[in-house]
Amino acid sequence: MREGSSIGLLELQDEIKETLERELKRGYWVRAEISEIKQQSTGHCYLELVERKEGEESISARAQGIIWASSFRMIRPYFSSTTGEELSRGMKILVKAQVQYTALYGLSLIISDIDPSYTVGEQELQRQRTIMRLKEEGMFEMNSTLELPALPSKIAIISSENAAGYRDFIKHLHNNEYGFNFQTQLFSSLMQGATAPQEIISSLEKIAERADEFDLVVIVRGGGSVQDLSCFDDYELAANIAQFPIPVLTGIGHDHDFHIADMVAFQGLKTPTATADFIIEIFASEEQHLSYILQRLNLAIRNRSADELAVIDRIESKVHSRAIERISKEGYKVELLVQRIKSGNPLTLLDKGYAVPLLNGKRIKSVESLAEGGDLILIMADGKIECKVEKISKI
Amino acid sequence: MKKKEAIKGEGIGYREAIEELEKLVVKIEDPSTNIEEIAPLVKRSMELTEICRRELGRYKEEIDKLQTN
Repeated sequence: MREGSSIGLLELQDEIKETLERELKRGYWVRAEISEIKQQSTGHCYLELVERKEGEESISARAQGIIWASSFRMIRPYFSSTTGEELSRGMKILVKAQVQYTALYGLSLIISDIDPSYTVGEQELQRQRTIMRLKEEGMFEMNSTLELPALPSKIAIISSENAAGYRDFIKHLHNNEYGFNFQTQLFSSLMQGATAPQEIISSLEKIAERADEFDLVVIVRGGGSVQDLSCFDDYELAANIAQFPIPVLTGIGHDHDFHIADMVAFQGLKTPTATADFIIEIFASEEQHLSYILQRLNLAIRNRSADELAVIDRIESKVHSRAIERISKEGYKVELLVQRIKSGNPLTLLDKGYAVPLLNGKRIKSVESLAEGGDLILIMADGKIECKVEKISKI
Repeated sequence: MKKKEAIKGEGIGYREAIEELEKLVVKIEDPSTNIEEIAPLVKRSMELTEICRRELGRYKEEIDKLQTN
């Protein structure tokens, strides 16, 4: 019999408790995966925490975790507002735990805090893996190498019709300051949660069936929690966007959100409003280019007509100077005739003291016409003289 | 045409005036022309000269006006 040296179960457990609590007094930050979680009606939260070896399914460690209602009231809203998700099975978490041992329930980890950034970080890792895969498969750049139509006015929109992001986009696009017209059609989809990728993909498929009716696909939604938007990091969705035959623009969330969907799209814009601006800007710059061409054309026409005008001016002044020349010539002709009248007018000579001889009423220019003893009349300025020729002598 | 008719009461233009003037000059220079005829010929010549000068002046004015327009 060894009863004398034996101890009771409780005594042993008390000793274990004492040892554990003495040796593991401090709190530990522990990495683990939630394999079970339930909240009691009392408000306490019980978890089963496990650890798996990397790349393996089998569990290599297991422990019970408890978050007392007093802590859980604070931890729960903080965690869900930061990650956008409730604590749930399969989630990897980083918890601050105190080891507790009780004779009745054994070992428990009393959780007083959770670091949500660890959980988000896991997703970031997954994100990087997805990006790598898309790159390896040669899809990453595919959509961005498509050619955007010069004026993309027929736009298929994937969004949720009640989403603020959709309304912002529509309002901004249609109320653009330039008055450009766009034809938009909404393909309504759930824009968050586990089923969102599949819904968006099926909208893409609907658009693809009518691909020739659209210039552009726009995927927009407003801001949300990290978890809300995590569907835009989905591999299948990214692969569908990347391989889509029409350029896809994404405007998802706020300024700081950048998802894989944004990376594989033709162009990832920061917000729905920025997406509308991007499209309007294409039109504005085309319009600017057009007005530049018109201006050049206008200038060319004006220069050209200036050249033509100069030619006409030259011809005109030539016509004018020739006309004036011609008139001057006629003028000389008239003046010449006037001169001839003056010099040929015998009456002009009379004024200067010359006399005009007349024989039988006709002027004579030579003595040959006269005979000695004959008659002759001399006309002078103030009268005429009847003469008799006495002697003729030639000079 | 109105203006032309106003000149010396004669409805003739520059062309007719200068053609007549050329003929008169030849006649004045011709010694066989009677001396009594000379004075009226000269008078007529002066009238025609005046018509020619006026018409030419008017043409020039018209051309200048066309150019300034």
